[in-house]
Amino acid sequence: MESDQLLIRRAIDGDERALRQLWSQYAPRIDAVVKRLAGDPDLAADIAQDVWIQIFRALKTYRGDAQFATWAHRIAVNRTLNALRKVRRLAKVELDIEEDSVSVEMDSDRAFVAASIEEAARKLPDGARTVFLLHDVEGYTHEDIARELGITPGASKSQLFKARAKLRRLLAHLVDHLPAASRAHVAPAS
Amino acid sequence: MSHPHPERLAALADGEPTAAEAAHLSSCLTCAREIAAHRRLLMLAWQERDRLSTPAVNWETIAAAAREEGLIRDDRMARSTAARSPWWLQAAAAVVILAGGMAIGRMSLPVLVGNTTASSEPAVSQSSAQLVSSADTILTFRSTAEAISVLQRAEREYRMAMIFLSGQDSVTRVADDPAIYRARLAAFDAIADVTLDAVREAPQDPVMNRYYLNAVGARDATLRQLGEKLPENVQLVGF
Repeated sequence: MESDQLLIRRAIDGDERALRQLWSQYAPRIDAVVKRLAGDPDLAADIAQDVWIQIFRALKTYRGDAQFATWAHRIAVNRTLNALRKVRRLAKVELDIEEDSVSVEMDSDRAFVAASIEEAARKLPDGARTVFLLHDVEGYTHEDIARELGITPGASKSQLFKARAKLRRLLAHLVDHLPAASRAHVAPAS
Repeated sequence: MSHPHPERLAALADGEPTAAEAAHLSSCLTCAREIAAHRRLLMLAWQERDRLSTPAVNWETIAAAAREEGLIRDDRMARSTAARSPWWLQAAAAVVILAGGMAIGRMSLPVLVGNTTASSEPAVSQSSAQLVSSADTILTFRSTAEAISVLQRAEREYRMAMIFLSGQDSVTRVADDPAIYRARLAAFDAIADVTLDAVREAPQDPVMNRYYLNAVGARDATLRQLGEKLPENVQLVGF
């Protein structure tokens, strides 16, 4: 299989096959991040296109000192956040959720869990949702998030804990589910 | 100590409690259960990270945008440098077409220009230089329309160059010799075969389709010409 370096070199030269191979190799991961952050599938499609163009445009600057996936992931997050800022000028407005807007297949336990998290995350205010996704899902630090969002690390923490507290309530059906052996030792809620 | 605030419990899922909080948590099952629930939430969130999804947008859409940005090179240029790609076949087809076309042109053009003679040898060099120069500028295509325009201009220049080169031709065969047409037909057959393979591999490729159709059309025309040049008592039934 062709190495990433060779593939990238060909892609920089404008070789469509190389560009397409990069896309097909990394789109599942990159587009998953875009979809999670964007929330809305149509918006995600627009942003994903922009993200990939930006990745292709920036290929010349890729020095290989990080994994390509990591490098591309960072571009995806930056670009998505920028796009969301433009789209959602009123970042503090809580999004309404429409019951029919979740289109994730429910064909397995994991899909159910994923859909539940996705749906619950959509019910968070934009800022809290973004911080939760970046910190708890994508693994960013509060310092990274603060830089990306132009807020303080303390504000990032505050948003995260609000998000977690709300998600814990929304996802009670998942996180309160305990094995029978453990359940026996839990005292009733006061 | 009273129960910590729900947001504080959320923070304690992956944070350190104070001494007072630790003392409370060790004796309060409700708070301990809340923290356990938050930790499960964290675990689920982390598992989400590895969840892949289908692409949000298809390749054709991205490719169209990339072309507009000039990030995707013209197909013909890409094929000529993609060393290990299956497009070799089509690049080879283009080379065969060009070489075959030049050979055929040199043989056939006396028919077009009669006894026209060329001016001088340096003029040949100048024409070649112009062709090379034209090839270099292909890299600057910005749109399909521009590429087609350049292609049409190149075809016109190609024909003119062939007319000129025919005047330099020292081949002694005469145009009425059926052997010329048979050689031409054989060449067109080869070209049609190669370009047909390329078309089968990329049926939507307009360039290869065009070359294939041109080759087939030229072959038919040559076949008719050959029929006209045969002696009256000989009938062409096929080739």
